[in-house]
Amino acid sequence: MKKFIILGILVITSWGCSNNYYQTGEKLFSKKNYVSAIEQYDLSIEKDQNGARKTKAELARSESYYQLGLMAFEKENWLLATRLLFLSNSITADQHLDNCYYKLSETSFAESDTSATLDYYEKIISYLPESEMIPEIYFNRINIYLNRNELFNLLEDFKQLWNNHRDDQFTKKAHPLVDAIIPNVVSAITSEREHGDLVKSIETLHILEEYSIQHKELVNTEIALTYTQLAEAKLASKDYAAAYQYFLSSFQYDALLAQKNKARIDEIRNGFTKNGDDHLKNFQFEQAISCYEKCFLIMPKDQIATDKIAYAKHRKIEAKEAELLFDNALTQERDDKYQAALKIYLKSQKLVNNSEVKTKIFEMKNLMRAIKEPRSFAQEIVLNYQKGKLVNNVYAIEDSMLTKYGDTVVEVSGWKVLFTSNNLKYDVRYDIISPYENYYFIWKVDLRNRKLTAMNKRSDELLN
Amino acid sequence: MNFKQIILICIISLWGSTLLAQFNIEKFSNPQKYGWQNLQERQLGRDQITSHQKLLQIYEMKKIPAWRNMMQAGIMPGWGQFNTNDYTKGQVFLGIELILIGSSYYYFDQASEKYDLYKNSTYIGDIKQYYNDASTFNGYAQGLLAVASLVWIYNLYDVYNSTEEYNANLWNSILKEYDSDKIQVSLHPLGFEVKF
Repeated sequence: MKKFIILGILVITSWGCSNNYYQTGEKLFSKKNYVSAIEQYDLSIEKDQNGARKTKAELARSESYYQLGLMAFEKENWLLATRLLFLSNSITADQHLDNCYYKLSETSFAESDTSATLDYYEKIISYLPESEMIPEIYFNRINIYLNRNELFNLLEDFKQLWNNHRDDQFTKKAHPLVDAIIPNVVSAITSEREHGDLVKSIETLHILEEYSIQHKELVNTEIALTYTQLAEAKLASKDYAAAYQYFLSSFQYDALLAQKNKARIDEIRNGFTKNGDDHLKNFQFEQAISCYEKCFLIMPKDQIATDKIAYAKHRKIEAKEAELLFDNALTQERDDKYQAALKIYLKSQKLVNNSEVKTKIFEMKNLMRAIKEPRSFAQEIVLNYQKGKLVNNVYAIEDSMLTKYGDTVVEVSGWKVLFTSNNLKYDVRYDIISPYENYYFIWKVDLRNRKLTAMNKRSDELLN
Repeated sequence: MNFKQIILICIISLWGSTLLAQFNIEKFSNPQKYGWQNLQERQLGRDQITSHQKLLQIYEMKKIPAWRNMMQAGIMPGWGQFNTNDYTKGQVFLGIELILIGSSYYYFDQASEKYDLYKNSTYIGDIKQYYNDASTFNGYAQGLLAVASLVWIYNLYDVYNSTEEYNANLWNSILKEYDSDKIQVSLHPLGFEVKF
C-alpha cells in the first residue's frame, strides 16, 4: 500500500511539473538563468491551456530577453543586443535598442558601408519613432543623401525634421544645407516637369518655399509656372473650374505671369461668350445660356457672363411671346383675316425678327393685294420680276422680230392675265406671232409669294 | 531491478538528453522567431500583451489557486470540485470516500471486536475462529482504506485539473468581456483602474 501511495504522488508530481513550464521558467528566472527560462516560457506559451499563464509567460519572456539584451549591451555586443532587445518587444527594451542600432550604424559608417548605415537609421526611424535620437538620425541621413546627391530623399528627411522637431538643434544645423541645394532641386523639378507628376512637383515646390531663405523668388517663379502648366493641362481636359483654381494659385507667386494668365482667362471666357452669342443668334437660348454659364467656371462672378445670361433669358421670354403671337396670327390667317394677321405678325417681328415671320409679313401683304386687285397684281409681279429683266427680254425678242419681219407680219398679244382654278394663282401670257416663228410665253404667278413658274421651255429660258 | 533503480534511470536519461541538446545562439536570438516580420507585426504583438497584462489583475482577483483548492480537497474530498462549480463530481468523490472510509471503519471495528473475543476466549476452537475472523475483517478494513487513499489521490489529481480548467475558462470569459467592452481598463500612475 505504501508503494502505491508513493507511486501516486510521483505520478502527480511529474505530471504537474511537465505541465507547469511557467513555474519552471520562474524558478530559472529567479536564478538568472534567462536562456533556460525563455525556453520554458516558450513551452508554456506553446502548450499551456491557461491563457492568463501564457500572458504571464510572455511578459516574463520579454523581461528575460531584456535582461539578456542588457548583458550584451554592457559587453558592447551591439548586434546580439539588438536581436535580444528586439525580441524583448517592450518599451524599456526599445530605450536601449535605438542606441544599439546607432552604434551599429557608426561602425558601418566608419567602414564606408553607407547602405548598412541607412538600414540601421531606417530601423530606428521606423521601429522606434519615440527615440530621442530621431533628429540626429535625420540629420546624419541628410548628410549621406547630400553626398549621394539624392535631393528628394534629403528633402523628405528635412520635412520630417521641420514638421516634427522644428526647434531641435539638428534641424537648425540641417536648414542651411537644405537652403543651399534648393536651386538644384528646382532645376531637377524643371527638367522633370514636362513628363513628371505636376501635382507632386507643386508639393515639393511648396515645401521648398517653406524652407527657402535665399531662393524664395526662384521657387515662387517655378511654383507659378507649374501652376500655369497644371491649369493648361486642366483646360485641355476641359476641367475649367480646376484650371481657374490653378491660374488663381499662380497669381500670388509671379506678378508678370499673373498678367499673362489673367489675359488667358479672358481669352477662354471670350470663347464661351462668342459661342453663346452664336447660339443666341439662332434663337438657341438654352445652349447660349449654357455657354455663358461656362464662363463662371473659368471666371466666377464674371459680370459680362451675368449680363449675357440675363439678356439671353430676356430674349427667351420675348421669343416665347413672339411664338404665341405668331400662332395667333396663323389662326387669323387661316380665317382669311389677313389685315389682322399682318398686324400680329408685325408685333411678333418686333420681338423676334426671324425669316419665318418676315415671310409671313411678305405673304400677308401679297394676299391683301391679291384679294383687292389680283390681275393687276399678277401682271405687276411679272413686270417687276428681277427688276424688269423678264419683261425686257420679252420686249427684246419682240423688237428683234419686228426688225426682222416687219410690224405688218408680227402680231403681239400684249400682257394677258388669265384666271386659274386657284384664286391665288394666275397665268400671265404674252404671245409674239409671225408666219415664220412664234413665241408663246406663259408663266404661272403665285400671288401669295410672288413666285413665277414657267409653263413652257421658252418661258423658262427667260426666267433664268 | 527494484522500483527505486527504475526511477533513478528515468531521471538520469531525461537529464542526459537535455544536456546533449546543443545551444544555437543564432536560432535563439533570431528576431523573426516569433513571426514578427516588421515593426507593425511586432507592435501588434506588444499591444496584445499589454492589453492582456491589464486584465491579469482581474484574473488574479478571481482565480482559484490550485494549491489552496487541493488542500481543501485533501481535507474533505469533493470540496475542491464544489469550488470549481463541479458539484456532481464533488458529491461523487465525497460519497465514495465516506462509503469507503465508513466501510473500512466498520470492518476495523468488527476486527477489533473479534480480536477482543480472541484474547478473552478460553476454548481452543473459539480462539482459532476468532483470530481468523479478526484477521479477515482487518484485511477488509486495510483494503478499503487503501482504495480510499487511491480515490483520495485521484481526487487531488482531479481537483488540480478542474482548477486549471476553471481558471482557463475564467481567463477566456474575462477576455470575452473585455472584447465586448463590458470591462474597461485604464492606466494610472499608481496602477490600473478597472470598470465593469
